[in-house]
Amino acid sequence: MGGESNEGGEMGFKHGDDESGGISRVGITSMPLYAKADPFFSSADWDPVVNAAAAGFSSSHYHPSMAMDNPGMSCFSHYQPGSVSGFAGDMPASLLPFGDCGGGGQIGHFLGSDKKGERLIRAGESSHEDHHQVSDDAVLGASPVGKRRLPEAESQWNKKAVEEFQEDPQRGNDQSQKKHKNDQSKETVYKESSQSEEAPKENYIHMRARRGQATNSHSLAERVRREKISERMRLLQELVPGCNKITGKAVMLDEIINYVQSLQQQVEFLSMKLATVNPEINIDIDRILAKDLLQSRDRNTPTLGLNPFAGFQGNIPNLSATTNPQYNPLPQTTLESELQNLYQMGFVSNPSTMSSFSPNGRLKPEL
Amino acid sequence: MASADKLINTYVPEKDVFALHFLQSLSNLRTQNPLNSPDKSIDRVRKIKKAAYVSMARAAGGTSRLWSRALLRRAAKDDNKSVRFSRRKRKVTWKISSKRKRSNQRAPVVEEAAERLRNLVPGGGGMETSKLMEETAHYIKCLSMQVKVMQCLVDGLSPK
Repeated sequence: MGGESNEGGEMGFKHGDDESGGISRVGITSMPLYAKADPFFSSADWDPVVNAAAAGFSSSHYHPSMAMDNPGMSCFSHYQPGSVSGFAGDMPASLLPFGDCGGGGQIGHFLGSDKKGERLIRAGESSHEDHHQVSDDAVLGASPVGKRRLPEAESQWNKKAVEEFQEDPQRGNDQSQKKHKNDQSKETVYKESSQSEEAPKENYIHMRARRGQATNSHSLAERVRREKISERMRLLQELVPGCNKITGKAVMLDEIINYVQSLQQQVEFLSMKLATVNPEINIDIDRILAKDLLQSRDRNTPTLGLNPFAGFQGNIPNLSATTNPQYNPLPQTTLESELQNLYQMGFVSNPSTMSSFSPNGRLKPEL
Repeated sequence: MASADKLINTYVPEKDVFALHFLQSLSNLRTQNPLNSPDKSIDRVRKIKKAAYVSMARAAGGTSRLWSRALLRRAAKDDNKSVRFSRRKRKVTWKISSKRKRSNQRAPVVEEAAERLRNLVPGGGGMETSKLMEETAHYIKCLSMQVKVMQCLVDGLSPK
């Protein structure tokens, strides 16, 4: 931590090589810029940091502007929570926004502009996936504004930039309170085409434009729609067997179509098979059903159900033995009572009695 | 998204429900043509197939899903006697696919596949693509369940 010993206000480095994990989290693409600008940096020290930063950080192009604003600024790769307070006293407030460009969403929170340690501590905590978050902060950070936003709110806000709020009031509540705080503190909002207030009761979709994308309402709606479609495609991907490796909408859709077609062909084929098999067997299907279902339940059912089967011994036992394991055990709800009716009716294959079976409560006779 | 399933309801009842409905329909078929079996086996096949689809539609949720409703309506239209289908007041669908066909804004790849899907899935003609995919998911689940039931039945009934 040699940087710390430099004159205050000029440099406050923590190029914690030993904390490279923390640094890589931060995503310091701005390092190279400052490294050039600042004679105190030894590039060798920053190499691991730079490499970590080069992992690709979207908001890097904002940094040059920041460099102009604060020429004498030193950039911090990341703050150690413990030693923050020492820094805070040294750094003028204007320097703090700079830390923003250095990091991901974490340092964006430094824009909070405060010299208090607690803000800086947040660096380690918040998520670092909000690149667009950073850029917003970076742009606004040039003008220090006090207590503009809460870090957690921002990170969660952007994480949920595109969502459907049809249900899940809990999530909506969380969002709404954070959004509320955001609204209080934010004066200017860049890049935001639609206010996304979380109203869990409302059924329409709220969106916030992401960085670098058109803020036309049409394209927003397009994007929402595309997200919906890809979400459903993911759902379908789980349904269709063997589609885990497929990436790409076109191939996936072809697979889905083929699968549906093959299922329909299977139904046709099986119905053909059934047609050939069926007429040969003289047993009433109802009895098969009843017997099979009877067997899958416990044996305390009245034996009267078993008696009518006496005449079918040649066939029924075999059938029931084979069909039994293939059916799941009955749910002990409405089906049971319906079956009681069936037994009492004496296995009448009367359409009107059969209709009482309908587990969904519909009393329409079957085809 | 793991939470996707919560938003999109793809609940499908147990296999027994499908089995029950199918067997009911088969028995009704039997009562319709008691022992004088129709001469053409094709007719029988067709009837069984229709019975399979209708029973699947009923088991899957009757008129509460778009595809099942369309299936039942189609079956009722062909043969007024056998399928009871009560008309339900149609909800206004916001987006009709015919309008969308004109605009090229939507991804053409997705849209052409969606067209093919619409031909396959019953009731797909009036749906938007995202809704279509929901229905397809449910349809696939129900179809596979129905296939399982029929397979079990065939295996059970086939002579040893």
